[in-house]
Amino acid sequence: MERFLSNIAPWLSGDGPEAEIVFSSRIRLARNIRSYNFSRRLSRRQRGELFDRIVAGVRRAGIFSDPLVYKMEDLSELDRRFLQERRLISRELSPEGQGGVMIGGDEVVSLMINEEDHLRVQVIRSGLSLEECWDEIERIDRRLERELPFECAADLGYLTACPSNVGTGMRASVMMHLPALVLRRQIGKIIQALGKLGLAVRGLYGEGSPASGNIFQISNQATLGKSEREIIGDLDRIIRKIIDHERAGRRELLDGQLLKLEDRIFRAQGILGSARLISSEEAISLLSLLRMGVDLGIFAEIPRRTVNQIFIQSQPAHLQKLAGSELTPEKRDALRARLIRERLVKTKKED
Amino acid sequence: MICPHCHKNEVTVHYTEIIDGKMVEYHLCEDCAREKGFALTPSDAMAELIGSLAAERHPEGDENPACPHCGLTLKDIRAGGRLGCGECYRAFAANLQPLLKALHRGTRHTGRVPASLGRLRRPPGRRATTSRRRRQRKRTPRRRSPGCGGKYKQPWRPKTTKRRPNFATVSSRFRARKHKTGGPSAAGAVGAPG
Repeated sequence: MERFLSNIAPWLSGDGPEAEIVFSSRIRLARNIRSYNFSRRLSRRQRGELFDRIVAGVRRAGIFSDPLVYKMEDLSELDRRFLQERRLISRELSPEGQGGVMIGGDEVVSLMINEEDHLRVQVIRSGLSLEECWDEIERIDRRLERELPFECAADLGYLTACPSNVGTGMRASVMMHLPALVLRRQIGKIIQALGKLGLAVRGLYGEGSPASGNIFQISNQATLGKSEREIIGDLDRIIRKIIDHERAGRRELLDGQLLKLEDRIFRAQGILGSARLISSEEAISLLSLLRMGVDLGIFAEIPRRTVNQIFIQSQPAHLQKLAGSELTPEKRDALRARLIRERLVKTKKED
Repeated sequence: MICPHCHKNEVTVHYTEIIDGKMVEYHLCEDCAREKGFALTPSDAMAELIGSLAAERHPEGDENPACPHCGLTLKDIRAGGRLGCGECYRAFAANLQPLLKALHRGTRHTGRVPASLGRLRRPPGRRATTSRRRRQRKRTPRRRSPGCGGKYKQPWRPKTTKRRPNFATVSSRFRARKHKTGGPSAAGAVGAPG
């Protein structure tokens, strides 16, 4: 697991199409194995049996060359939170439910077992790359279905534990950084409009997480009645509209309120560069401003990927993994402040 | 962050509400959130919605029908918002129909299916393949065929239509014979299309 610490998660690499606004694109598929009840209605023994069967099937399918396989019951709470922060597992994947995960070495593909559904496959890439994600996940799905009999009905498609996933079993989501829309107070209207278009808007870490750092995840709600490509095409079109709005917002801010904007961004940089204690909420909202400064060319010397990496490394579980032990909230805040200072200074020196 | 409501516990619940296009954020500890009636686990809200929508009808007059495969009852669905197995979709089809309509953009899957199922599956309302005869019938109005005295209804075809010989009707066979003696220029009209 430690090898992830030095890795930059692929969704944070800061490249790919529209990377100045879109962090990452992610597609996941929900699949269940025929003739088994859904995960929650299986006995402990059955879930264990299913876990082994799926792991063997996935290995035969040859999706990963060298996957890392973890059972949740073998991991500490900290390790589980660490994987959640890297978006490799969900909060619902629990040790009590004999949950497990298979992760490709580059962290692009991960496969959750015994979550709400037997199998949840995800592909996550940097930038606006829904098409690429779909091509890859379709190829994986085609290989998996040769080894594992998926529950699928002719009329309702793939059957899932929650009726909100039935049909394609697909959720496509795009994580966006929208500081200008938030600063200009247009985001509320946009979220409302997205709701009417059947799209869900969430915070950085999915359902129930805060929209801190001006980061929003936008995903399809409906999974039945439209094909995968239609869903992805519609989502992509809407995302591009939002990108246009955000760009226009940034231009307006630059034209009309340059001094005010610069003031906020430089203050953010000042605090990040000199704070001795910083909470994760404060860090993330300041990093958002710093990131906007980078995107607008105010801090040309800081690479986008460095800011992205600080975003994730300043999360609580990542800090504790870096420290190698569990930390009290105060110690975490101190370590976070030190990490950010050092990373920002290091970038300057490299120049 | 300490809960701004009770000033005691760590904030764990973040909730964003949109009122008149304005975003309002709440940050609360678990106790205060529960007090205010927020759905706490991420799937709570969805489960609640599904529970309430799935429980509206009892088609067979049975108060609490159960799935024959996994034994899950309608009450369980109402409480947990999740189904027990694939068979539940058939067992509770009548209850699920309005829910699926509310959640999705249709009630029929049009996306990909496993290759094993794909061979059996046809797009809704259409045959696996449309035969030539069927295509022809769609194009041309039905008429009594003059060649068989109206006994068998054959599609009327305009005389200029190019056809393969194996699609011979009484009249075309007759014409084909005529072409044999009629010379090369007429045979071209009957022969298989290029």
